[in-house]
Amino acid sequence: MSASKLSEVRAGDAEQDDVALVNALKEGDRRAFRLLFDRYHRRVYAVALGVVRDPVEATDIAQDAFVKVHKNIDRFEGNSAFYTWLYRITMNLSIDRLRRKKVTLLSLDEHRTEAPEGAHPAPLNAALRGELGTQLNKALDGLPEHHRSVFVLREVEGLSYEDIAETLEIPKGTVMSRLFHARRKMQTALEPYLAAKVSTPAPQMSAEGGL
Amino acid sequence: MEALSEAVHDRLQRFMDGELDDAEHARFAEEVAADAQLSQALEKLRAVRGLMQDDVAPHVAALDAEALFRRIDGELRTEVSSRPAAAVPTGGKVVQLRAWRVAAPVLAVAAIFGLVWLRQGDETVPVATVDDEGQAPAAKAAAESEGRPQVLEETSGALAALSLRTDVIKVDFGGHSGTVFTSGEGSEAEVTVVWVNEL
Repeated sequence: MSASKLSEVRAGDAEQDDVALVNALKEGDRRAFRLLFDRYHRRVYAVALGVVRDPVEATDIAQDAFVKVHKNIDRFEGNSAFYTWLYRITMNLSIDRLRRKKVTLLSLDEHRTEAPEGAHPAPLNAALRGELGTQLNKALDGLPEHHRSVFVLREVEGLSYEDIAETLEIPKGTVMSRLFHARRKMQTALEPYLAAKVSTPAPQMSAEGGL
Repeated sequence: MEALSEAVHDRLQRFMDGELDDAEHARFAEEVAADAQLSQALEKLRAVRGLMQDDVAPHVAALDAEALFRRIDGELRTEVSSRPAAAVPTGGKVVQLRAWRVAAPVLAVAAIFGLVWLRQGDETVPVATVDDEGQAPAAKAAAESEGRPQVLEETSGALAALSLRTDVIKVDFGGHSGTVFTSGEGSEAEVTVVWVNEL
């Protein structure tokens, strides 16, 4: 792929651009791989982090996911969107990690000291945040894997029901059912903290969610 | 306050997710605005989403993309350099295997033909032609000099009794030597004797 075509990719329609980048990568264009990485690495990391709840593990998963993409790009036939394929790889790796670990998940708050100052857009009270982080981990830990994956793809990544169904290769009705139950469980587990959260001004969020 | 039914909760979730069609979305938005219980339930759903996003966002913002890409690039380079050529999952492997599938039988056939040709070249060495009287001086002399059994004379004598023309051929084959006697007149009366001696 020529340099001019690559610059067009940066500015064009996302899904069409993905097709062009995937085709270029299949032909061995390393710049195309870098562009796909630039486009998706934060989302991949966010999904992995939402599932495994550990930044170090999530980084490893993001690494493995892109290595898998590079190695298996010839197997991607383009019947689905590239990003749903990428999320599927990420989710499978994340669930595998969860199964292997089978230990109490670490609180994300323990790692927050490593984040640069000011990284948190709307910091809550530190004590409340720490307790919330622990409770959030517990609540997520209480979700079955298949509920957790749907919940994370919707609440962290803001995927549509259709995209979640495609990513996880399940019917859309199953997505809705799992999401419904996952949310009910999360609400029940976090009830004491939700009251405080609801009483404070909520951060600006799009209807579709996502970061 | 009566708890919301599952159907209402389901509708509320689809409303929040933007999964209702435009007309239904507008209708439900009016219901939410007019119903405090619905409104509060919606806020709680949004609060759970907010907690998840608040929890993940700072880590995503702090991710060192360059370091991550270097790790990926390093792993890919290591794999390429340490991978045996035959294990590369590309079209090259298929081509390589196909080439061997053609070359191996050709080489095998060529080797068989070569062996047969070489053997044929060494196989028969005419030594002498015995006349009707059974005389084969060259063959007899060769047998004497090599210390082999002196059978040629007796056999030749027996053939001579038949009053037939006889050809004598010395053969070396597979580590053994032998003598082939062929006698007869045309195709009607032929007698062949093979005597194999250890070398």
